[in-house]
Amino acid sequence: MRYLLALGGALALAGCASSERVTLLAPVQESKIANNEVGAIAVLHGGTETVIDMANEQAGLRGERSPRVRQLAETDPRYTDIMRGLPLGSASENFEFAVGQNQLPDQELARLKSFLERYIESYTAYYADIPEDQRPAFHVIIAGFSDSSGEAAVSDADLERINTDLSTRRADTVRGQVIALVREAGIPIRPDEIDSQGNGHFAAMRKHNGARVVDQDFRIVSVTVR
Amino acid sequence: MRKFSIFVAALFALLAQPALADEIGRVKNVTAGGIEVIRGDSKMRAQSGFRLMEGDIVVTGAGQRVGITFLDNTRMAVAPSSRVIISRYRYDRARETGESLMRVDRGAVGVDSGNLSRSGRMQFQTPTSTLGVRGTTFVIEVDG
Repeated sequence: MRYLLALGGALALAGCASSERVTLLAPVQESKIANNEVGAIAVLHGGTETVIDMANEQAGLRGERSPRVRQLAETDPRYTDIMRGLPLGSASENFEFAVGQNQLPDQELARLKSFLERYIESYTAYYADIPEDQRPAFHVIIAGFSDSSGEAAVSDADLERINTDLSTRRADTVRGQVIALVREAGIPIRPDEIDSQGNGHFAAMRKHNGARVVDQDFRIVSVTVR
Repeated sequence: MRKFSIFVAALFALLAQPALADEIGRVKNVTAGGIEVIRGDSKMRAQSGFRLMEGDIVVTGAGQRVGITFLDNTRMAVAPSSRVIISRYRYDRARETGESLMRVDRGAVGVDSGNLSRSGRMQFQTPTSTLGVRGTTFVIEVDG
């Protein structure tokens, strides 16, 4: 009988121990580190939520019951090991067209080349432990933009289409320039890993609260590499 | 003839720009030999560069790991002996809006959230609980 009680107690304890946990960590992304952006996790339970928002704060998850929250003294080395498996973060930079031009000028292309080379340096350092032939491929995304300007007679839907088309043409043109650039400079990025997309006027609309505005700031492409 | 020219032009336009449609992220750093991705009834071996789609199930065995970068720049590290279901992932890159729902069935994942979490529409599930992510870095563990 005593053994049965002991077994029952052990099972009850095991039942109480949380087998699911979420642990908030200090930021690892440069922009988040710069802003000390820890963020938060909301654990949803029983129609309400419990929020953890401190680095090394941990919530033991218990379904509909309140989570068991505790503050760890320091980051568990297991978590450091898991986070080492993150891929290298992406990098983005904007490049400007000259007024009246639909191609990036030489000066901007030189800046773009330097941007790609800097990323490759970070990549080489980040993946130093991985044999060269097993390192992940680069992926370059060229996003074109346009401002939100347009004649009053043009409908919102037509303006969206016109500006999306314009930004797509800009991105496609720059894609061709980037393919030529990486080929000439011997930068190890394959053409099929270079994509282009038209982001239209949505960013401009956000900036100008939905107004149609001529704005040279949106004569740009944004190049992201990851 | 004109129709044929339009067809050829459209074909060249397609070839000129690789399709990103349906892709939600890519396998980046992965242990030698790759990991398993279940898509519908198919089991696939995912090596670096593998393009993930909504609904995919990422499975790592003992000693296997994978790093994934999603379209919104969310990065995920899947630890050995884990199973993660990407139940829902929608991201409009032009508007920078969308939503995601991923379920960690077992194992552990580390996440550095990207643009989606800023809208408050990034969620994770475990077998018992649901978590809302608000721009952060975290680890979820589900003991087997």
